[in-house]
Formats: sequence, structure tokens, C-alpha cells
Amino acid sequence: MVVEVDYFGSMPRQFLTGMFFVCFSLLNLFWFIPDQVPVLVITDTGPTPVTFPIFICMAMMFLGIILVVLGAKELKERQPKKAVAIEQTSRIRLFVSIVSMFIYVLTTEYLGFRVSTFLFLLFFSRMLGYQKYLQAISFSVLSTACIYAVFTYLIQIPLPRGVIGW
Amino acid sequence: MYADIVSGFFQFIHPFTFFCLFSGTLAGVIIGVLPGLGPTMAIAILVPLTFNMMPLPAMAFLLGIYVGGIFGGSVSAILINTPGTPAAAATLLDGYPLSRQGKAKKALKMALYASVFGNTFSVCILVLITGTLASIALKFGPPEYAALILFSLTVIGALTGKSLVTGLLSGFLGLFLATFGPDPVDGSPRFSFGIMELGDGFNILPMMIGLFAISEVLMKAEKKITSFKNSATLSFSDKPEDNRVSWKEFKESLRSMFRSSAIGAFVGALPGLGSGTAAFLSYGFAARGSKNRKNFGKGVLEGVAAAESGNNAVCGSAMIPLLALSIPGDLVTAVLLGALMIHGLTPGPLLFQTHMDVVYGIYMTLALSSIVLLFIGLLSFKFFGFLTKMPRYVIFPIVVVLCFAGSYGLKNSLFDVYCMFFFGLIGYIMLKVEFPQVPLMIAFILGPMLESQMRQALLISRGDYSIFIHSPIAVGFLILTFISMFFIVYGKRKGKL
Repeated sequence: MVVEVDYFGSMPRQFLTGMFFVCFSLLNLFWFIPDQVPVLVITDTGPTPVTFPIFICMAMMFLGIILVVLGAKELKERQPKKAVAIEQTSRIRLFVSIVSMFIYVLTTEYLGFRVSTFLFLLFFSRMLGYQKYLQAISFSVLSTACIYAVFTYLIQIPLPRGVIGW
Repeated sequence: MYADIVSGFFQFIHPFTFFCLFSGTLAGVIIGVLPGLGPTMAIAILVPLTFNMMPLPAMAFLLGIYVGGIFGGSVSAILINTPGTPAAAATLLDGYPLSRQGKAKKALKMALYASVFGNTFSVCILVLITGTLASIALKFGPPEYAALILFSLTVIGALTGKSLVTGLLSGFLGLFLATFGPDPVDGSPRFSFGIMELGDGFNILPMMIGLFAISEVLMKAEKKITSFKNSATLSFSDKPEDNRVSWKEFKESLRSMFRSSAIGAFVGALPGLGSGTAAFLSYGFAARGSKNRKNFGKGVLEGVAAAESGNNAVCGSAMIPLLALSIPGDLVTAVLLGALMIHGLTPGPLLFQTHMDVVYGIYMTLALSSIVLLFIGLLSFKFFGFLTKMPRYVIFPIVVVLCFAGSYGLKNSLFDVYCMFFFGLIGYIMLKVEFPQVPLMIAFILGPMLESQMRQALLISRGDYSIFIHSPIAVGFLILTFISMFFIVYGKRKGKL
């Protein structure tokens, strides 16, 4: 049985999403586009490299404002709801998943694909519910070996070996 | 032309192409059966296996996954009441009740025959229409192409997702992300933020792997799994007639299969609708037109046949706009377009001039995929029960490692792997706030084309925007855009869309 988790159950999604897009567009229009898109050739015959990004950001801002208005309207009309209790373990599980994936990539540079993949598979499968240690270890070893063999020998894509050559 | 057909045929009959098609279909069926994985994710994580292949074997492998994955999704719908793909949700309506009556094998066999029927039908439509459409598209100039892309993006953005605004916003976000990297006209660098690897913009593969695979893994990882046993227990009847589809039963469903295949082929060729819509439309029409309509939803074989032939008929016809116009109609074809581009092939009318052999090879591959699917489907019935019980703690860690290896393998760069996780997080947030991912992906793919066509048109007209209303074809597409927007807004307000 799987328990669904909804972090945004008691929050105005539309409003937040709209606000995000308005801020994102403003940030781009006034900071990133002038800073990151140099106009090397100025012509009077048509758009420059900044035209398309500016047009997109303006459209995003316009749609974002619509979402903010819709969200605010919904917020006004909505009956007060009981706060939705969010299970703490789900948040922790999500956080740990993200961090473990990040650490996996980070350690691959130093430990190499084989060692870090084995450790990641062992940890992640245990976290998702693999209960028996011996089985989890065998699964991690076998999966690492198979994926490594397929990529390195079968389709000849070299995988990172790390500083210790693994 | 004949030389291209012969060349395509010789590439097609190469044993390695056969092997790729067979292994792709098998992988597609297996991944489709596994709950939580679908053809989109399957193609995204398995594209790296094709890096060193020639274009046709690579396409055979990916098309095999596509066709197999759509069928595989219906297996878990029938056996454990969990659709492996959104398209299989309609199959569940009659498939699962049949399964509960002990007729799971009968339902699975009918699903397989109907899938093969629908797929074959749509391949015929593909072969008949695509060439003509491509030859018309050859007459398109930059203003016409820009208007066509605008039309497709608007319809896809407006149709997908719960709200019109979020769909369009998702499309614009995709267009914005596509502007990272060199300017398509003068090559000026854009949004590199001083990062050397970002100078060429985001790579499509890490992006699609992150958006469709990592986000799903995160969604599943946060859910509490209290029991690993599926709630449904499978039981198979001992009676032979409950385990096979008789000729009479097949004949009774044939009318529905024809109608559903036609619906599926039509829906597949339109942008933004996809196989889920095709399956439900087909099921609805079959239920209305059947003598047995009262029993629909209680375990009618015709219902399974209609839904399955409808959703599989999308496979071939969705390739029509992809091959002829370079416009992906749904998520899977968007991912396929990305895969084609990785292999140096840009679909569109020019493909029909420069790589006609590959086009013929793709036709032949798709046609053969039906037979391969039938063969694999019939042989693998015994394993389906086992696959549906595969626990998540085995599937998802492997998916993450495959995502890592695939993203890294593109350029041997860890930057791509970080990008993949970044897009995985974005995809996860999008899923959480019910923000559609499809328009983002399709807009990201079509964005550079839209910008370059628009700017070329404006260069031709020396900055005069009226060039878009001087061409009758472009005007036609712009009018179509407004009309379809009007109907979509109207339909959403009435709750019909």
C-alpha cells in the first residue's frame, strides 16, 4: 500500500506559482538578460539576440500575473480548511533521497563509478525498504557489475574511474 | 526513390537492426509492465545504449521500446489494477474486472491482438500520409514554419495540464531554457553564467532524463510504502475458454477495433492529445456503439480491444507530424525527436530528401514491430505476474544509476549529471504543483527552431512583422491557432477538456 503525500494541500498553489514566475521574469528582464546576453551586432533590420528572451519573459510575467490574480481570488473564496498534517518521515525520505543522489555524483569523481554506485545502491535500496542486509548487498554488487559491464564493454561508454582508478 | 527503398530495406534486414528491434520491444514490454515506469521514461533512460549505433538500428531499438511500452502498460492495468501508462487507464475499466473473473489471460491476449491491430493500422496511415505532408511542407518558408510551430506549441500548451495558463507558462519556460547557449543567428553566447559547459546550452538528454525519470523516482521515494505486496491476488481460471480469445470473440470486437484504430490514428496525428485521450475516446465510442453497452465496465472483452487498439494506433500516426514537419505531437515523440537529434538526424521535410533510406527503414521497422510485439507478447505471458510484483526498492535505485550513466555517457561530463539532477528537482516540483511537463519539453525542442525561423523571416522582411500576414499558409496557421485557443478555452470552461 502506498500513502500519497501532498505538501501543498493547504497552500494556494496558483498564487505561489504565479508569484514565482513574476519574480523570475523580473529577475531575467532586469538582471540576467542585460548581464548575460551581449548584443554584438546591432541592426535596424530585425530582432537581436535579446529580443526573443525578452518577449518570452514578458509573456511569462503576464501569465504569472494572471495566476496570481486567479490564486488570490481562489484564496478569498476558499473556506478555511483544517491544516493538513504532513508526515514528517516523507519529508525526511525526500530530503535524504535528494542528498544521497547529490553525494553519489559528488563521490563518483573521487571513488569512481563502481564503488560509489555500490554504496549508493546499498543505501538507497535500504532506504526504500530492502530489509535484508545480505540480499541488499548482493543486489548492489550484481547491479553495479551488470550496469558497468553493459556501459563499458557492450556499448563502450567509459564511466568515471575516480582518483583511485575504480 | 527506388534506390532509397532498396537502401532502407538492406539496412532494415540487417541482423543487428532485427536484434535492436527485438530487444527494444522486449525492454519496452518489461518496463511498461513495471508499475511506475512507462515508455517515456524507458526511452529517456535507454537512449544512451544507442549512442554508438547507426541511426536505423538506434531508431529500431527506440521504436521497439515505444510500441512495447504502450502494450506493457496495459498488462499491469489488467493484472493489478494499476495502469503502467496513462494510456492504459481505459484498458483497466474492463481489463481488471475480467482479471477478477479469472480471465486475465483472455484479457491480456485480447489486449495484445488489439495492440498489434491498432499499431499495424496506424503504420499504414503513416506510410500513406507522411510523404505527401512532407512534400507540402517543403514549400514552407520561415514565416510558414514559424506560424506552424507557434500553432503546435499553443495547442500543446493549452491542452495539457489542468489549466490553460499553467500549460502556456510551462511552454514559455521551455522556450526560455532553449535560449541558453549560442544565438541561432549570429552565435552570440547567451546565459552561460561563466560556466564553460553551459556555453552550448542545456543538453537535451540530461534534461529529459531528469524531468521524466528522476522526478518520478523522487515522487515514489517520498511515498510511504507500508506493504510490498500488491493488493490484488491473481487467479487464473482452469477452463481453456477463459484463457484464450476465440475467433468468434475476436470477430465481435473487430468493428470496435477498426473504429478505435481510426480514432487513435486521427488523435495521434494531432498535437497535444496523445494516447490517453485516444484510448478513452475509443472506449467511449465502443461503449456507445456496442450491443453489449450495459456490461461495459464490468468485464467486456470489446472494451479492452477498443481501448488497446485506440492507444496503440497513436504510435504510428504520432510519427506523421514528427517525421514530416519535425513537430512532436506528444511526450514520447518529443523524447524520440530528442533521440533522433542526438543521432544527427533532424526530422522534417528535408529528411525526406537527404535521408530517405532512414525514413523507409523507419516505416519497415514500425511495420515489423507489430509482429515482434505479437511474438514477444505471446511468449512472455508467464512472466507478467512476476514483473508486476517487482518491488520499488529494486527498480528505482537501478533507474537512478542508469540515469547517471546515461547522462554522463553523452559527453563524459559530470556537469551533465548535475544538470540531470537539477532538472529532476524541477520536474519533481512541477509534478507537485501540478504543472505540466509536456509543453516544457516540446517547447525546449522546438524553441531554437521557432526563434531561428522567426528571425530569418524578419531578416527577409527587414524587420517588418507584417511578413507573417502576407503568406496565406502562415495566416491559415495563425487563424487555426486562434480558433483552437477559443475552443480549448470554451471547452475548459465547460469542463469538457
